[in-house]
Amino acid sequence: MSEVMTRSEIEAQFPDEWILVIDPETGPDLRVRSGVLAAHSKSRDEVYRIAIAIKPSRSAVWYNGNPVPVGTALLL
Amino acid sequence: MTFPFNPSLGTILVWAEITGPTGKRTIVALSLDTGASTTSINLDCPIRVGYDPTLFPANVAMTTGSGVINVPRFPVAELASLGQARCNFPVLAHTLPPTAVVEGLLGLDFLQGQLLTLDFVKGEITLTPATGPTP
Repeated sequence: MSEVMTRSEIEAQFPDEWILVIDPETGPDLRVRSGVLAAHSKSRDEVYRIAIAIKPSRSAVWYNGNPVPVGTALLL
Repeated sequence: MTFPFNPSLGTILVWAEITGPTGKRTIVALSLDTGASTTSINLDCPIRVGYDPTLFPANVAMTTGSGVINVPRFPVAELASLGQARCNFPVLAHTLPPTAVVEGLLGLDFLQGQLLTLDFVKGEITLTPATGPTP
């Protein structure tokens, strides 16, 4: 997986998954615009494991889904 | 500088970039949390940018909604978010459960001395340095 993808492409293909992108292009808000998809998984730990294993110089990790799904609550 | 956020998400997601001791960087989604005294990030984040967790003992007592736990504090080389950057910024390493879907909390220590404006109608966050004296 070394193809540069836009954030829209990534989010359309991998809903409700954790995403790891390397060499991300970002805007001033630091939100990823595009990058190389390095991993995607329902398991956050799996994405973390890959991120640490490949040691990218710049990476981005995020969850591609609703942070507070219907029927849940978030109190951090 | 003003940034967009989605006021209907149920949490205020902001993006942050963490820089490690050798210049490695990672971008993460944090929840802006004015109920948190201190910024915290999942333990994997400092590891990802090159910190060795064995060098940072868990000696900070952190009070959470479910009790008090001891966590390590990492002085990250830089933490940038909302158009501002803090150098040698101490963050607590505390891994939230995966259902939290953020990699940490942007707390009051990052906002200190700033003017924070949250516009839930327009979905905009503005963080600017205060012009007058601050407590």
